[in-house]
Amino acid sequence: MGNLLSANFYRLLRSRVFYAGLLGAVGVETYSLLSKCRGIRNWDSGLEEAFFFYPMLVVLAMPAFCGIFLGAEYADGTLRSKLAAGIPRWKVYTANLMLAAVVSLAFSAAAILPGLALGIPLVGGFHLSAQALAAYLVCSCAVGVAAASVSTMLAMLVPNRAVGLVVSILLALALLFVGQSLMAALLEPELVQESTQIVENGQVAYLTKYGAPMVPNPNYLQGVSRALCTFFLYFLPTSQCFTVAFTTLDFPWLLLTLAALFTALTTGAGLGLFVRKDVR
Amino acid sequence: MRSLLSADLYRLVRSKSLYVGMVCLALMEVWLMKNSAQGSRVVEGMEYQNFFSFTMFVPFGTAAFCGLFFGADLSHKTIRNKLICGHTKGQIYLSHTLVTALATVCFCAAPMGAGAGYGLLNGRIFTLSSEALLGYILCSLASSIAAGALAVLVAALFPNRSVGILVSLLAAFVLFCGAQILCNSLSQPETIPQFTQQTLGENVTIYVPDPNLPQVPNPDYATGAFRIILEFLWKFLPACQATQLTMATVESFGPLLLFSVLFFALVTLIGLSLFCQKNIQ
Repeated sequence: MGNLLSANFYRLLRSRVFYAGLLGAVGVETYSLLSKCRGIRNWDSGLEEAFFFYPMLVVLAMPAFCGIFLGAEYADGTLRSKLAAGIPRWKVYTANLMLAAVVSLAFSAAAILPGLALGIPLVGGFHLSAQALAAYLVCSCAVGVAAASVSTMLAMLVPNRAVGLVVSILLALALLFVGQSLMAALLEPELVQESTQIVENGQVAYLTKYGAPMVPNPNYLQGVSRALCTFFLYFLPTSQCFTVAFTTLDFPWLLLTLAALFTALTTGAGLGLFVRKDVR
Repeated sequence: MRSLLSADLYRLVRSKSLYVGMVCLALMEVWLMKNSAQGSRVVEGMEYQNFFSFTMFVPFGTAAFCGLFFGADLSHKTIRNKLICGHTKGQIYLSHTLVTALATVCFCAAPMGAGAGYGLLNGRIFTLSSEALLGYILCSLASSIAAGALAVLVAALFPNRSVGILVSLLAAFVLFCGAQILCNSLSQPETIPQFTQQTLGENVTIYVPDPNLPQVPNPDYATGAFRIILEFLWKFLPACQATQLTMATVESFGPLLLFSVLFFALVTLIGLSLFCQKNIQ
């Protein structure tokens, strides 16, 4: 295991994709801060308004990194050499998973450090309590590790590197849209101001009855559908990143538990399938 | 050229990536249309209910398709055989471009068919005139084909298939995000109201617009040369054209079609000249 990890990290330090990912993380965080700093100063908000967007990048960067870096094991035949040398498959998988987890943390760190260095002088500090700030930081790292886990699974199970890369990146993009929809559905208010719809010449307008009692919002999710949406919001890394980015994390412990469950499930499934896989 | 096209088309009709892409785009269209039936969109036409939103996702499909389909030419060394047979690099590139244009038309047709079928079954209709609808459909095809030209360029220039796919998908994603940023910048009002601070109870502060105070210039409103550049990019880039089509806010179809053709020609020329100079090992 030590040899595998050592070889993986030796390759990692020489990987251009890894450094491109680090640069990307720095770029996204800097852009997020610079584009929002005026609004934060005007509205007297905290740094958290623009700080936690990096989990969204990590969720997209991990499939790309794992597809290129771990996919090379199949493409270059390194995996066969490792197995021929007598290394058990679970060790190969676990070493790759550990590497991917470290890379996700490195991407997060690459965004956090310049974010703090640039954000504090630009807009001042956070308006969150120390406990909430720690929860957000830990949760953002957990999102990255969960994304690393599913990316490792896909990279280790799809033998064609190009196909694996396309599948994992497009899946991440599609699930990001699902995450955004879940977030929007759960943020609907329970009660809304009553309004009347007016259609004139194909143009639609709403006449809001201010002062009238609030009415139930038909788009507000209730019962099982709300519970299911909340579960998936906190379970999928592609939707967890939205709750962290928009600082709407109501249940940090739930996110941490479900992120750990997601990591365990994807690792278990990946390991189970990889051990039985016919590696040519 | 004919034999190249014939070989590429033979591969195209047997390509799993084409059919998987078409099915994914059709499902995405139905899902987006299903989610659009809220608020004012219920009584508006199908064009406002995300019908043309497929134009924003087709570039991802073409990026993946070109990377898998044409990347195989380089990674399987088919391209070397084509060159040995006497085909020029220009012919190979043009054949790829034409086949990608055809695949893009299929990628557009699948969501359009699925979206129209789903909408009509749900009693939704288009409120556009038939000329305007035809204009939107033509512009959607032109914008998607222009985006496909960019995917061909990336696939042809990267000898490593996986890196080519990654760059192509990243380019599609960056252009997608860039279009949203441009849309946000260009839709900023020139002036904004002044806000006054009000305190509600303890520790609750709200800002409300004050109608008694004059409006002030919006610092986010782009002016001068910067605005001209932004407006040009908004018309020129396929991702920006796709955003206009999705929101059904195209003012005139002629310039949009012209810019699509211009983008396609420019990218194809650049790709052709770079590919002709490329050292294929």
